[in-house]
Amino acid sequence: MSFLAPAALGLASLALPLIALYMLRSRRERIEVSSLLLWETAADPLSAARPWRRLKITPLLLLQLAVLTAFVISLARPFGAEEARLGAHTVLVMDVSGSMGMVGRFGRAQQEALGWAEEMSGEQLVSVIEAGALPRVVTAFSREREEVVAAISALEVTGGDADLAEAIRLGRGLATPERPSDLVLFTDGGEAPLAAEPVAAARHLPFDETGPNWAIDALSLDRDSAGVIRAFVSVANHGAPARPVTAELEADGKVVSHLELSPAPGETDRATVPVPVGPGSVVVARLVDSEDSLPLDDQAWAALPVPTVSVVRVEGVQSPFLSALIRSIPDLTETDDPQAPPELSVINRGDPGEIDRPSWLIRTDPPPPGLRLTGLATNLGVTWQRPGEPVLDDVSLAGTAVAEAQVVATDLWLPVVRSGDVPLVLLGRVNGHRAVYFTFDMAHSNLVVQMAFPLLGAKLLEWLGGEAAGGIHPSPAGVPIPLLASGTGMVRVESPDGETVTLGANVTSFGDSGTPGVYRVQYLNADEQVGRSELAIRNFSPSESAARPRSIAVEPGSFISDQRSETIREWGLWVAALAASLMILEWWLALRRPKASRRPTAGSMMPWVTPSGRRRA
Amino acid sequence: MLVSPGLREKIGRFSLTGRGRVRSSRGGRHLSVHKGESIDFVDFREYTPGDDYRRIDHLLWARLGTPLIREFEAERELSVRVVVDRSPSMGFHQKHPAALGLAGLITYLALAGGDRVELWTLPGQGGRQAATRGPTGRHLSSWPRLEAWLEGLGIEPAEGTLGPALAAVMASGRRRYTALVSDLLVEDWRAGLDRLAGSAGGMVLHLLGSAELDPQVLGDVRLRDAETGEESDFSGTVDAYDRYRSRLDDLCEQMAKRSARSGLRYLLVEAGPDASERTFAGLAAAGMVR
Repeated sequence: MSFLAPAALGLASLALPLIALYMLRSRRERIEVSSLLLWETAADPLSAARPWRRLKITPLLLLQLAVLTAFVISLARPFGAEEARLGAHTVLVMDVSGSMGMVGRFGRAQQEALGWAEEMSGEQLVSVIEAGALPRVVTAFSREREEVVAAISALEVTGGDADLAEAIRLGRGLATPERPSDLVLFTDGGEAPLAAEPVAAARHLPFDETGPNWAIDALSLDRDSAGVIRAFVSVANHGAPARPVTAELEADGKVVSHLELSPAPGETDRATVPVPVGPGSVVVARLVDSEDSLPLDDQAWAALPVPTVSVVRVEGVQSPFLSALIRSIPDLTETDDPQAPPELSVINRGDPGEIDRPSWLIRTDPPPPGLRLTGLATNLGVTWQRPGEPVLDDVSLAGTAVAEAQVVATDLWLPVVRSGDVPLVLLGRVNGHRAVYFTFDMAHSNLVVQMAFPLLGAKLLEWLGGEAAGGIHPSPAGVPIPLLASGTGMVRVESPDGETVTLGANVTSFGDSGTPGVYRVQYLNADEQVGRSELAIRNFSPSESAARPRSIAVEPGSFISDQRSETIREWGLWVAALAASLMILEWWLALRRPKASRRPTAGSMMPWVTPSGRRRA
Repeated sequence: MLVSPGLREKIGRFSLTGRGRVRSSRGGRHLSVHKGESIDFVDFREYTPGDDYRRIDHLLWARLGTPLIREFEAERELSVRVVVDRSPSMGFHQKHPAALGLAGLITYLALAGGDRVELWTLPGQGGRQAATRGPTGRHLSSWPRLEAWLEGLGIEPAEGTLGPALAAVMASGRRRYTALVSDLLVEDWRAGLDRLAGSAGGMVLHLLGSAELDPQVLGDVRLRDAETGEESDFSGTVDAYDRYRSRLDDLCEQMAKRSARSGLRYLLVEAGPDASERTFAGLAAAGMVR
């Protein structure tokens, strides 16, 4: 046994005054008794000439010496050297991507991580990062084993991808020059090599359990030329035997169809089937007899959008590009009848007035409520598009240039396209209606001649018109659900597992979307009544279904903890607990009341003893 | 009043039983080593001149041709010595009044049985003598005098020593029935009990207070011997009380054996208002009175 503070052992000298106290005669209350004859063995005779007495070893003295010894040892901080994997600061990166849902992977990873956490002794710092689609720090710089164990135990596999590169970057960000960090990657490796490979100061613990897997990698609902709604189902075979599997289709809680598909190993098989559903219906496809190693990807969801807006009126400055755009969309018709109220307005410059319907606002003066004009910017180019934003799916504005744009500040609108810090396109909500705002005049940009313009315009009009089915296009799990900040009420999101989260009015996205399924988004008005309700579908990420394990390259010898072969584990707390226990025992012995009296005989008589020495009863 | 009227009425029909035959020359209720005039026939012997001719058995004389005399038991008085301890240790826990009561009980029993009673107290008057002899009596008519003397006894503030005191008592005559009333809480209690050897039976009434039989919880105190002035430190732990009780058991056991070795019987009595009644019950149960 070694000590971190051996100087504290000097306190053992306190035993001497303790023993001296036992030997010194103390002042006591004097009581006169008939004779000391009866007390001979119970009391200590005194000699007036000596201030001390002979030391009697009593249980109390031994216990007090033991308590003192234990306290002294605990103060000296005893420790034992142990093999340990934890360094001064260790970041545990837990992959929660869909591929970790392969039977056995995540459970073993969790157990392994808990094993690392159990080695914490109060000296080491541990952080835990959840590596999902949006990596996040679950706990940082914790010395508490229980906290780390709870954080690891609470993690669950999602249905999305893992942004391991971002997770590693987050872990690196937790390091400081004084406190270098080790990264421990609990992952199956992900799909593609990381840009950071080989990763420095990291250790990859692979989890490579594999097994046969069928996955529904696509599900969509489309109307055919005859107007019949057909479900398109695609099933992929990832290493499973070539045999038919049955996909069951359920619409609004009722089984409506069965499909039998036979994908060959490594291939996909697709089929379409008519389903009797209407606008707004949710269809679930699930494999009923797959019994594979990754159950999470055996289900997929799709919803049928409600009909979109059909009547649009362009107000303000007329634009042939806008009219052409509207005419190119089959479900839309443009109207200029002032008596016929349109379902959607496109306001090109000018005063927007009272906005009472979904509106596409183009550089109005003044800007709509929620936007504050701070200036103008010139000669701009698109530098940023919001990742994962549905209205920007397959839309690339990289070549778009703007001669002049308003500079607006907002806490309520969601910028989806920017040039540097200048927002160019924003999504928002005005008077409870969806709204898109362009801070620039399309006539002063080359947007209208970009190939992306028709697609962007169609998506914007579809989004504006399809409030009831907004965000209904399936996205991979983990992709945040965009929310429209109305600034007037809260937003309530119900997850597929039934958990409900209420968010503030200014929150622009809901990131906890790792669980595959249907998310219901309800926008509450000021008096907490549900104003509008939307659906968002997050399906298991198809790229995770293959679940092929991969080794992440790490820089050899860079793992800091490898440079130390052992760490210390202090026992002082246990020894202090022992001391406290001994102290309690000592108190109990010292304060224990004497037992009930035991007289020489019952009553007052001793047995008669006859002259011959024999007793009589 | 040392012996209550009720107890006197109860014990008036009893007398002490001694050990063996008495040697007294005075008549009484106890069998003597001599032949006498009682109605209890013992033996025949040849007639010698001077014998009472009324005791000649004429039938045997006619049949055997030799005059034979019938002999009978002689009944003599028992000489009882009552020794009361009044050392300072007897001043604790109501032991002194209880001791006087026990002495009165034995005295009354002896007087009621027609025995001669001799009172002693130790230590002696003023502490100058080891023991002091008190009055004597032979009949219940002397009870008031003896009772008054006993009632006049107080605690003698001198260090008590049993050995010399009882040696002085025994010097007045050995073949006597001895009743010692004492707490025996002196260092030479063994020597004292040994001095009583040679008595014509008797008893040791070992008187202890209830607080001595069952000590109260004292805590950490310094104890001072009332007689010797010696001091000891006592820590009121459970172990200490266990040791005390063990010591008390051991002392009582040794005292009982030592008494038996001297021909006396030992009775531990707890001091208290009814100590006399309890003691008489114990004497009767043990056959010490009849």
